Amino acid sequence: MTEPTTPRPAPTPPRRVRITSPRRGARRRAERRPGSVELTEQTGLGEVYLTALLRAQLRLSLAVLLGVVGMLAGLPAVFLLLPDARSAMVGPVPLAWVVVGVAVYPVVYAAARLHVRQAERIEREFTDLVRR
Amino acid sequence: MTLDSSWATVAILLVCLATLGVGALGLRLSRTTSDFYVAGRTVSAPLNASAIGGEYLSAASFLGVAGLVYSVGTDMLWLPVGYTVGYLVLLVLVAAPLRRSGAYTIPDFAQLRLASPRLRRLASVLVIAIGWLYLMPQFQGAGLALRTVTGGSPAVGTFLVAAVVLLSVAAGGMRSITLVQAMQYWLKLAAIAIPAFVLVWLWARQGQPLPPATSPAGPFAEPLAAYAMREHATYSTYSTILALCLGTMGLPHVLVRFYTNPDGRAARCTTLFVIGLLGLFYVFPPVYGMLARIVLPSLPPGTRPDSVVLLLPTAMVGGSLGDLLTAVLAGGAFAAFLSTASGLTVSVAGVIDQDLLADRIARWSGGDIPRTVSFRLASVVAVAVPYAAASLLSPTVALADTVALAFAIAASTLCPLLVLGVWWRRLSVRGAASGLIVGGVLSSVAAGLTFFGVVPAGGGDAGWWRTLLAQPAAWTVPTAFLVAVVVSLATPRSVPRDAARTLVRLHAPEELSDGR
Repeated sequence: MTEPTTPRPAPTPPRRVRITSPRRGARRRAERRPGSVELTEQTGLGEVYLTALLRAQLRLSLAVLLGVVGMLAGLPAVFLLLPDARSAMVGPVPLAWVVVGVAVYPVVYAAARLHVRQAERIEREFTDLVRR
Repeated sequence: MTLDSSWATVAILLVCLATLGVGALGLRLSRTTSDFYVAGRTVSAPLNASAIGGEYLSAASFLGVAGLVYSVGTDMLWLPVGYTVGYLVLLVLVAAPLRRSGAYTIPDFAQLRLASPRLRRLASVLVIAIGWLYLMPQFQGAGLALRTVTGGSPAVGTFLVAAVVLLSVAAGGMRSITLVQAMQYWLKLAAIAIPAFVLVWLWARQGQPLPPATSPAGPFAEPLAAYAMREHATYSTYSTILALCLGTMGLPHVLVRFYTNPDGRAARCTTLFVIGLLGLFYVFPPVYGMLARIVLPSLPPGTRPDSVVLLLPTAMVGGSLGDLLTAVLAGGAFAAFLSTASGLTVSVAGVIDQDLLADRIARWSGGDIPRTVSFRLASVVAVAVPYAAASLLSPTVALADTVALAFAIAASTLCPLLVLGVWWRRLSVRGAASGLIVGGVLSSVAAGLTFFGVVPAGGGDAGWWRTLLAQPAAWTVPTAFLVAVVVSLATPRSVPRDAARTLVRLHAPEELSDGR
């Protein structure tokens, strides 16, 4: 392309000039968004990701629901099958009132708390997987 | 039956004034359309949870639960349990995905997920109908409470609640409502808990008498005893629990509240708080039902069981302590009517505005009329219809039963739409629409027949029919789900093309789908 040149002693090397963009404060475009691109562009890999997330969350939700519903549905059944439980007393108050009126609520709260924690864990793991 | 009414009147007026005052405070903060609808989406989880609790605890919770426990017995303890578990179901099935969908209302969600304007319109009609059915008992309850504590005409109480609600909603929109509602929860909790402690203490001092074990109708304090007029207690119990558990997510005022969370994770935290707050509150109403069964073996003529909460204090103590407690309870009851009615009005008005009014007004006026005016107009419509219904129809069904019917309709229509929409990729537009129509027709026909008392009294088959119609959820909800699934499978071509992308948006954590 160009004729070979004999190396000349370089003149004073050009001063290094620092060039900065006037918009340094602007947000930089994300350089790589691998997982989320797969997801939103509906590639085969994205499909796999989505299916995995949906399944994990659905399994968790159903487990929590079945546990609580089983407990709730079981109580009338217990009262139906065990006539003694219907008239049992706790101190001055009937047992059924203590169980259905008070004891149910902490259990429901505990189940909800368990679900929130697990669902967030699943999301964290999913984010890590997709971001990798 | 008129008590010394001055204290109770003062309490009721104070609650109304406080509601309007906090609403006016919010008015100074709410500036944009987004503020109006969903408080600019900047509400913290505890505040939002208090607001949800305040909005959710309605006349049915404050008066109706105790009334039904009083008249029907232990089986009615399941009502508050169902009201609470409804939030658990909402949490595990739809809370975070719905927030991530970024929609304002249920019709928005329908359009976003299924991209069909007609389906959107169908969902709007259902939201408005459920909202009105739920508003009606709030207005009726207000009339009832006012008559019980002051002896005034029921029409005054109904009008008072409708007017205060309209003023505070039309003035401040959602932001002021969020503050008002959060305040109302704590007000209601205090108003029901403090008198309950006093009354239980009195009961303990009176030697802890028990309710009569065997009354003519059956044992009061035992579960599944079919104490009063309820037939088929086991079926009714299960069906009611189902309606309450699944119906909560379909109530218009409940979902609107979730859009005020900043993100999906916050929506979950808020729901968790709500479950705690509701559990705390619901310990108290049954206490009134049981104490009333001991102290008031029979109600004065012309009173409905729904008013036993307000009758109990004077029946137990009398004197100025009784009057004071009654005043506190009456204030709490009015807080309940006001908060639920304003929450419902905001969401029903939002739907009327977005789907019926705003476009028309803009076209008609050439865009001169701002959005806030059409929202105000919509809230007038949202209040006027149930107000007229509450004033014209004499209440034949208990407050909590009317509310349970609204839950049943929500559970048979919007619940399948939301649950299948959030979890099932193959839901088609036609499937969703068929589910909505079948569930809506079946459950509202059942509700209508119950309201107008079409099925005559009597045992045997008539009894079963009456029970099936009064507690329709056990058969309408599975039918609606089944229809939606079967029709969706049969019409794979009407599945929206970008269903998978929408599901990603619903389920992926925000930091992924935003590309942040």
